[in-house]
Amino acid sequence: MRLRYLGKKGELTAILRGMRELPEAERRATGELANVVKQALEDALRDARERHEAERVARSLAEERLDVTMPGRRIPLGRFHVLAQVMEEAIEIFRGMGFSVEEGPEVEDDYHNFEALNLPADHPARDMQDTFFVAGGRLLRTHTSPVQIRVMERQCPPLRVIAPGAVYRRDDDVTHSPMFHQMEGFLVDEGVTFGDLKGVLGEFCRRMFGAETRLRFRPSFFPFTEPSAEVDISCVLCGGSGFRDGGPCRVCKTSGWLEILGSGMIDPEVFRFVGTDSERYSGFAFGMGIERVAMLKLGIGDIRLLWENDLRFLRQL
Amino acid sequence: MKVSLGWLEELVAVELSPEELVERLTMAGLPVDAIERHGTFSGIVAGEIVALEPHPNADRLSLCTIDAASRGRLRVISGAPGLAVGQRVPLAFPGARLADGSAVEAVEIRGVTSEGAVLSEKEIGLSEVASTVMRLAPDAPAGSDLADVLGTADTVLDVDVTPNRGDCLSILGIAREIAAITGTRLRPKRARLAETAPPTGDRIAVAIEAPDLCRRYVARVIAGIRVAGSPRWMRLRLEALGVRSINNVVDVTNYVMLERGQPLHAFDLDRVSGARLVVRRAGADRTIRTLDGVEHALDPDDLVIADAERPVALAGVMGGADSAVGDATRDVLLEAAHFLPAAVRRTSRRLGLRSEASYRFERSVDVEGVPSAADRAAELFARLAGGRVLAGHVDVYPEPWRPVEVSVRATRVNALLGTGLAPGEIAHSLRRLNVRVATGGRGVFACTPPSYRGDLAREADFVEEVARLYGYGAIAETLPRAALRAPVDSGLRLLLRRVRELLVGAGAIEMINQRFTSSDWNRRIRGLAPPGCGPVAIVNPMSSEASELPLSVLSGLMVALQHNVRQGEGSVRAFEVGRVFWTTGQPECEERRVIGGVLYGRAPAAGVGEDPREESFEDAKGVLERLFEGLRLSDVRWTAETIPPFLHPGKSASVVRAGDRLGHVGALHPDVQAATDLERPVWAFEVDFEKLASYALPPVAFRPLTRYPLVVRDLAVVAEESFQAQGVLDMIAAHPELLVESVELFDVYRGAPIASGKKSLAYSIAYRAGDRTLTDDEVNALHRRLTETLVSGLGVEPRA
Repeated sequence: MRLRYLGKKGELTAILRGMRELPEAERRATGELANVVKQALEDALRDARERHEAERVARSLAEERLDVTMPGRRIPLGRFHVLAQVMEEAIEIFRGMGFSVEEGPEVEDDYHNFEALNLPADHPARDMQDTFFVAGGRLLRTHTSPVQIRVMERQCPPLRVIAPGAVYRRDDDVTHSPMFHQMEGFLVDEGVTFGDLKGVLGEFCRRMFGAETRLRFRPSFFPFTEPSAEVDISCVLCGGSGFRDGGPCRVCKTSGWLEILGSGMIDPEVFRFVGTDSERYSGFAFGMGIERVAMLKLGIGDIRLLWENDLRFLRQL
Repeated sequence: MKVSLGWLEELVAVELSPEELVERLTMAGLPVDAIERHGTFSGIVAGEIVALEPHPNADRLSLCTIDAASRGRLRVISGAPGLAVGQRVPLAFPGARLADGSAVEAVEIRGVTSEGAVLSEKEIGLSEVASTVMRLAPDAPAGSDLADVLGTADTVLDVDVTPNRGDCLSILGIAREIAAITGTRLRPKRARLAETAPPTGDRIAVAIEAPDLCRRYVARVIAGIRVAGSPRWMRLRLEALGVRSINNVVDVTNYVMLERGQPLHAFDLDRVSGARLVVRRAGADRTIRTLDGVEHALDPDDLVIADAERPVALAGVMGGADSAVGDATRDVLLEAAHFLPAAVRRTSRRLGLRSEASYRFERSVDVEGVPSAADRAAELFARLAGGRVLAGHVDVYPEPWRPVEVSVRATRVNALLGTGLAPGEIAHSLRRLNVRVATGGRGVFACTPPSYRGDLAREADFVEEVARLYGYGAIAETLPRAALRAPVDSGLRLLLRRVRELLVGAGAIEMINQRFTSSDWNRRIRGLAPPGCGPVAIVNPMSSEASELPLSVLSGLMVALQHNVRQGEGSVRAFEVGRVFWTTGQPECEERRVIGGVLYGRAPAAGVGEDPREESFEDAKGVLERLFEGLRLSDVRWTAETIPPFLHPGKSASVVRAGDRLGHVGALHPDVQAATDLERPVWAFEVDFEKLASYALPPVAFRPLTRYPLVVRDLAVVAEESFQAQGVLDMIAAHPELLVESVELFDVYRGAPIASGKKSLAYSIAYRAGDRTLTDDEVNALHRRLTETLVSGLGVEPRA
């Protein structure tokens, strides 16, 4: 219709074009008339088009129905291992307090793993860590503490460092595996106190396990710290009451506390080994097991789940 | 260390409930692992026989009516002789547990019901006497628990003692600690000895030839003893603390060890040749047969106790069989000594002989307490085994203990703890631990620890003691003040995280495997280990499956892959950033982080209705391409050369950058796959992370965007089947004047009308100039020149 009347060769266009041949008097009237007609036609056409479009949209809205319950086209989803996730979370908290991240070798020498940490040969404290040995008198590090030595050997205070990584001990049961992960941390500066140790670890535990978490510091013994402290947090399951659902809490076994960290003020002997003046500087160090943190946070009872790499487990967390 | 509360009470007043005591000990650094009740007999009370009549249907049985006051009255059948009205006997109610583990039940015997049982000492577990019913004291109140009547009830705490606190490995040590933390006094206990002639020295001589390994050796002789069983109280205490009762001689040595922390050894004096003991290194002596009957080879440096002929004991570890006390022993030679902890530890570890004695010697015993422990044992020998204690000790003590003075500054204590303790408080705390504190003015103390606290040698050690007694809980949390310096991580950590993010983004799940493998896996998959390098073997592995460190991350991933496939998983795409280790025979081994991955089974699902497809070489390579692109590493090449032997030589590529092999990707070699239970092809890759990190990744810089339009032309060429697609890209890259901005291979076609043995490759080629709009004619000319270049340079033909 638009073409018949309004197109280049349309009838109305022809009339408008033919006007030149009309006498002057008629030309004006015809022109006006033709323009009025043209306008009317155009309006009518536009209205019709809009109506038509509206109907089409309305029909589409009324009739077209996707089955939205059909699965989407799947973009494959990977996932980080739960231990890596927990490790990252812990790293982020300490980085927020200005700690840098350092690493060290997993095949260590006796000096960095034991001796410089004030664990001389034939010391019964070595029994606390049953060691794997490899050729050449070297060993698989039993803790991340050798990183402490390596960093202090090459850097001067002030130091604020964490060192996450794999460590190895000859141990294999429901809560121990021969390789596991630790995170070591230490802070060395002038005037660092045991109160600071409590403050920083308190901050960490409350971020990691919730603002309600209470901490308990108990005297203990580590050859590389003096004073030494074992850190317990209030049980993540029962909140420290020792009981849950009318029975003894299965996580803390009614004690209300969970051992989570070993810590202490860096022993002057360690400072002597790395050549730091222990009269001028003091510092604290701590270490924790990442598997244990993960198991407590997620309610995992058997450490082997963390190592089986069962995809059903890994996809869940 | 197990501690009996009853025993403890003999040495210190414990005015706390067991639970409170546990809490106080725990917070003082002596956590209690368990609280056990010992010497109780559930369901057994004292009863009085109030009536006795014969069983109506059995001659030898009697019917006893037994009164247990508030606990009721039972009629019990017994066949035991000698029962009489008025006697007090142990009465068991139904449900009571007997020593053999059985439970008492109400039973009918010949028409009459026995409602409980009267018990013998054996049934209760007090002795071997089974023939008669046990008689209790005539004043034993009826209805009272048997444990109260006998006074056997005891609570045993299992205290976790750290290796620095050898002084706490005894009842006395824990008692001292309780006295210190609760502010009470010890109840001193001196041995009361009646000594008789002749002097000990007449019967035995002692010489220390290795004074570096033995600080003190005390000998006593108890003559005329009679070896027999120990009394009940001693057996109950030993057993409550986990020590088996043997005979009165051995039991006394163990008892005193548990009480005083000083291990003792008893020799049969008649079997010590030459009336002479020498403490020396084993030297030329080759073997010793120990108490347990085992023959041990000696190291020349082992410390032994020898008589005139041969070693008779491994010092601090175990006595010899030949000189051991036996039933016929008359005269006991008692040893109390202080051996060097490291020497005892070396020998006991080497021989795998760990004993209660070696455990204590390793943690150091109180050198000043050696004679008093010998006296205490002598006292008990005289009391329990009827011996006569000969006069005096033989005490060889070449270099007596001298008190050490350590300066402790109050300012230092407060500076380390973050406290504001007054000097007086500090001194008071230390004195509670029997530290002699002399005030030197200006808040500096000269502190002398008692002889049993060898662990207090430096100022820091005293700081811990002050904190311990003050209470860690009382020290306020503070946050350190430090310069506001931004943390500096090693760049590798962030790069590593980026790598892992890119792989997760490619749909791969991160795995973490134990870094142990078998020699089989290391032989099958050598990963990126250069030729000539070997695996790092563990000297003391836990199993043959975990006897070496991995050469390749793939060994762990393959085990995990098989696990998942066995669980029914049909699609696995996984990666790990692990560590691998190899050695060239040097003491130092090479340790690298390697990114490894496996793809197996169905490729990540297509849409509904689209055909599922298997993971392929392209998928594996695609994951790596994505990784490299994400890291902006553009100059990586893929070659079919130097494929490692564990990969299929025709379905694998080496990843090379600037002539350096960075990694590999491909199908597992059929021989390697045959060692698994996997049926579908395994696509694997490895990339050396350390190399990746060593490449200076190009800094990111903005390049201006070209405003001129892109013109795209397709080009298909026919090539030999062996032709490698990379050739086209290399050729184009070599001709920048052709103004090609990008090339995409979008199809490979084989079959008619293409001759067999050939393939057709279709490329989409995008042209753009940076400074002008290309005209159709220009593009046509460029495209023609490109075609000619490929044809002449690569021997391909343009497809008609």
